[in-house]
Amino acid sequence: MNIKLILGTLCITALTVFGNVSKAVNVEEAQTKTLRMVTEATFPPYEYRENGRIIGIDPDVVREIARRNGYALVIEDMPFNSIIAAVQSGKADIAASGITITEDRKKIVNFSDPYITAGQSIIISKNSTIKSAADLKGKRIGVQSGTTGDIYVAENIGEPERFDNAALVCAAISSGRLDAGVVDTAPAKEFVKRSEDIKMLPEPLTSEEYAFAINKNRTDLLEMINTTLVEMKDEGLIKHIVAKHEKNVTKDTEEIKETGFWADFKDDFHTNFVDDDRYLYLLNGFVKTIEISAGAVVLGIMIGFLVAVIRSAADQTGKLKIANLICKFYLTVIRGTPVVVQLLIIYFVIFGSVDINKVVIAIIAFGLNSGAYVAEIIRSGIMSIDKGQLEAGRSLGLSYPKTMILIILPQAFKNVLPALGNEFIVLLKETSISGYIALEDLTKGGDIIRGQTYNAFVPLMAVAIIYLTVVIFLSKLLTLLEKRLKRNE
Amino acid sequence: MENNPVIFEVKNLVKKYAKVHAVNGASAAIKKGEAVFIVGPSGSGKSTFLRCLNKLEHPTSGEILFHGKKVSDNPRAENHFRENVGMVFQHFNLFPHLTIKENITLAPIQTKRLTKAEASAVADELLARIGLADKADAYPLQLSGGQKQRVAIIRALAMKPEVILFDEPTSALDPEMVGEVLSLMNDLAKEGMTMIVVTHEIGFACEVADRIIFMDNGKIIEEGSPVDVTKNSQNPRVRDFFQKILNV
Ligand SMILES: Nc1ncnc2c1ncn2[C@@H]1O[C@H](COP(=O)(O)OP(=O)(O)O)[C@@H](O)[C@H]1O
Ligand SMILES: [Mg+2]
Repeated sequence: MNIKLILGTLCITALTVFGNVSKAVNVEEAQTKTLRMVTEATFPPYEYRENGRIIGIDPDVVREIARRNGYALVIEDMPFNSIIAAVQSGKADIAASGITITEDRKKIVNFSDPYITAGQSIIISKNSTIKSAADLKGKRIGVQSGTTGDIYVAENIGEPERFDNAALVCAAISSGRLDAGVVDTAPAKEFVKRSEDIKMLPEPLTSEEYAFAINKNRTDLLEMINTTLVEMKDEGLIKHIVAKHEKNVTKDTEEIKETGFWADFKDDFHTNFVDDDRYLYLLNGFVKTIEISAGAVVLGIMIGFLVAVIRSAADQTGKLKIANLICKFYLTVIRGTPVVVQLLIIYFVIFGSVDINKVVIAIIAFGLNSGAYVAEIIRSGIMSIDKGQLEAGRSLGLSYPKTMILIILPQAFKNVLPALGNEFIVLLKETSISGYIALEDLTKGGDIIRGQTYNAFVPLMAVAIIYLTVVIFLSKLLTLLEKRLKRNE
Repeated sequence: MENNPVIFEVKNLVKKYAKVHAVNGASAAIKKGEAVFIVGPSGSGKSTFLRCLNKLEHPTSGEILFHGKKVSDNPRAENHFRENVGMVFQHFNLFPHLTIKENITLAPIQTKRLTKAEASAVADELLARIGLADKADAYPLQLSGGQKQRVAIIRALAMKPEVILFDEPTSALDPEMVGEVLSLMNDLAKEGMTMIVVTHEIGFACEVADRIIFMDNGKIIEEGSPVDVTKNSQNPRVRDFFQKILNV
């Protein structure tokens, strides 16, 4: 076998696979016009989930706009601080997530006409001494990262603590980790209704206007949306949608509650997993996590072996100089940057304008990342094998690749199996950042439940227990494999 | 023997590492069926000389002819050439993840020198010959040093090479195991196998060698029959060396 040949085949396979995926998606688009909307669905009544579906004022308004103009609507859930970037990079057509118009945002995206006037309000704990905005100086203030609340507090009061969503801000106030939170007024009202521990100051901190963010190049969309918005406002439809969701969100808050630890636990369990089939977020998330991890492990091993063999061959034979240089560059870049950054770069920059299944993107990102660590582990395994093994193989007339594959690698693999197993366990846990690209993996599943139930403890514990179980299972499997391989000696 | 064809012809071989000239202008010819022993002080370049012969090391200058022809540096030609030149190492270098039988059959099968069935038959025959038939399915770790080295020798033999290079085959063995390895080598020499042996076993060399080559400082400074080299050399370095060894 020839190393260059393997490398070449791998590249071609990769190209054809990804080429086909993106082609398939494009064909679908050509048949029905789709409007791709992004939002962070933890912001009731503007966007939230019910029975797994993303609903709310923004989805309803945009769906109506899409319907009236002959588009099918696709909604994606991603962290608020990524949605503007998603529109800017062309990953999405429109961001509708209770976005306030600001000068900075205007520089990178176009805004539709405002469709709602809103503001930021201050949330505090029930027994807080804070009476007005003037008391906020020097306090621990929580905001949702990237929101206008964040910007306002940072500029006018002091550095805030930034959370992924408003639900987390409220949870942190309830548990005493924050003195106050600055959150959009409408969702703030909802959070206050749902929790006995927090209240809202009557005076809003700011007043501002919500609008949709649209890619700078899509002036056609901008015009279409503005025209339809005027129609809908004239018909009184927007007011109607707002009223409907404000009512919807409040309806199930009054419940008779038992008390006592066990009853509380049963109640929490029911709310977090059984109601609205919320366990499905964990189940589907778990499947995604396993898909991503398994795919990344396979890709990581392939890349790792290839890179390790090229590096070792270059060291031992003095050939493959250019391939070795490329490998070194790859190792330096991957090991020198955080995996979150790599994931975001691959999603937003490398595949920015290509429509590929996000699981595939995650597999590529985590596989590329893991490959670097696998490569160094396997290379250390190769170096741990006595030089005499290579010489014995070569002296018997075996070629370098054959000696590598039949003699060196099996021994190296056995030596580094514990380290490799460890790397895969790390990889499994690292996939928990997939939520950054709006993938609903296990961790994100827990986040979604928390966003709906305002309970931080139960979903987090459930997520932790699931990861732990998988890791324990994997460790056992590895021990068995090691024992099997050791039996030979 | 006199009229046998020359297998290896070495002309003015030089192998230089970063700082040292390991071999510094050595010339020799090895004929078919000869048992040539290379002796000399430690660090004199014996191993390097041997490893250049099967191209595990590439000479800095000089020429090595195999059957009168230079072996091309093309990897495929080198691999094919090595099939004909067996090597036995000081530390055996058996493959620990393979059984004894797999150790023996791996190379003949992979290089297509033998079919699977042929290789298996050859392995069985060779194992029976050294009395280790019952170890066919054992792993190297379960063998004693002497057994390992004898397996390493028949592993080289299974390729049916024209010549076998030995680099201090008994130096890593406990004294009580040296005998079994030397006796197998003696048998091979009697059968007419061409052998080039680096060793410190001077007694054995005198008994078996057709010719002894003495190396010092990367150069061949004496060459001839065992008696001529060990007893009658005019070279003081050589005389000194054997005097010290034989007086111990
Ligand atoms: N791979 C190498 N790199 C650098 N120096 C080496 C290498 N192999 C051998 N040498 C040096 O070359 C000289 C001859 O070594 P060697 O051929 O092993 O001698 P001998 O087998 O006679 O003891 C020694 O000085 C040794 O240190
Ligand atoms: Mg030596």
